[in-house]
Amino acid sequence: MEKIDNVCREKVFNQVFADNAKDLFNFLHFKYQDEDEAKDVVQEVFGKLWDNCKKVTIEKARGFLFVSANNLMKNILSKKNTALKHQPYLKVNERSTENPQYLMEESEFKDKLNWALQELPDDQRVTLLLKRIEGKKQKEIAEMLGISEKAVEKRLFKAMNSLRQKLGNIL
Amino acid sequence: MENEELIRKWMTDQLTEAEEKRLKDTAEFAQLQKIWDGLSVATPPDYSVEEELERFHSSHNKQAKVIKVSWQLRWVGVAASVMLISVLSFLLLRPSSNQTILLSEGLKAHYLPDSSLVTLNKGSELSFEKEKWAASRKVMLQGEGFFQVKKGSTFEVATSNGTVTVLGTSFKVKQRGDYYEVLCYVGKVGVETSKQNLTLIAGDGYREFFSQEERFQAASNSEPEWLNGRSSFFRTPYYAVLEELENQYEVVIETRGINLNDTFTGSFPNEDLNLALDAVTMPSGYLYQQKDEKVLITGGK
Repeated sequence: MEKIDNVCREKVFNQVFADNAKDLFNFLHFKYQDEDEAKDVVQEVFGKLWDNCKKVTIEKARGFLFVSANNLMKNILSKKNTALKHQPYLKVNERSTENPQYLMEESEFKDKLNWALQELPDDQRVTLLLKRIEGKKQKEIAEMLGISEKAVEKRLFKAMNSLRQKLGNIL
Repeated sequence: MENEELIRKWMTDQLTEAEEKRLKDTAEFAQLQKIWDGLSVATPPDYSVEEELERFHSSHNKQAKVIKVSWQLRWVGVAASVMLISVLSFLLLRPSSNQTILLSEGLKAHYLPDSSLVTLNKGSELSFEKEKWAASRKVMLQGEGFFQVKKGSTFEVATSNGTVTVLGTSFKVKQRGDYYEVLCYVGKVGVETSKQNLTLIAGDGYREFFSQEERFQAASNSEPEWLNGRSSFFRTPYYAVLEELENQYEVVIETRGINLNDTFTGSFPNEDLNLALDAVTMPSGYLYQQKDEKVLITGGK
């Protein structure tokens, strides 16, 4: 039997890429709000995984990727002098049946919501968006972030609570 | 907030019906619901796993692989990369409407514009004209490729030795020097060479080399074995087997006292040179010596 418990074989490696790249990207994007940098960091951590493929088993790969990606991203952003390019998380639906007044209010609400999201602490924002946009289960989020399920629940609550306070006047 | 417990349960879908009622009566619930709904319409940014994987392989992977080979080979690799980059930039940057796409990264699946899938063996190249794709699905192949074709208009694989035409099926085409082989795994394919014009059904193979041509029946695999790290042969002339060995391991093979037209049936692994050499020499009682990238195979006494 051939050993396939590490990720050195290209087929296995590609599978690990397919299974994790998007989650990694979303995680980095939601947490650090920099889409382009997130894409590059995903590339880089898979490079690290490839270089260390003999030492990393398939089961350990996901954990390895998330921890390395988080560290790398933090590192890169701390060295960046420029302000973050905030990309809006939410886009306004274009529903032609709605009347203009409603659309305007809706778009104002989305703008404010975007702003409030950007103001959230990184950990709270990433937790909330993984849950609400990616539909991840509590358990999955806990694994991705390396925290307990209870902590996920707590962060979700804190995030919603502070969004509510920030948006209080237009809700 | 006093309703923290309820809200936490609400966000993680753990509310009972009674609790849900209680929560809905609270003052803040309408606000929370509006935020929650507002978040749902968010569209995550585009992230194409396929594109990113392609990007990964075209940059990082090559360098990583070179590390495993010797110093001389490393320079060959660097030179080859430089050449590849120049060829690619020539092909991709020239201001023509007939953009030619060149795929050469081996052992990995490439999607063609119609989402047909092609996997190339090591040392193989595929090109096609993107602009013309909608009108005719035609690719040029050098080396060996396994194709899984989406149903649709005619799909053509052209090589210097012949052309394969299909409608929707999977098959492999191998062209190395004068050796040409087509093996059909699913469906039906048409093969046209200077010598023959024939149709293959699943399990049928056809090959030409030197002046010979033959049809053969292959084992009932659903894909070539090189997708799983082995090179496999069925009554294949020995010189073609050695060529594949040279291609897989980037070695140069010399032979003495061997009839290169004898046929070989069997397989060798693509990741262990010594095992592979054993596999191709032992059945015939040949001997081999190997030093760096040079291999000498000699006939028995």
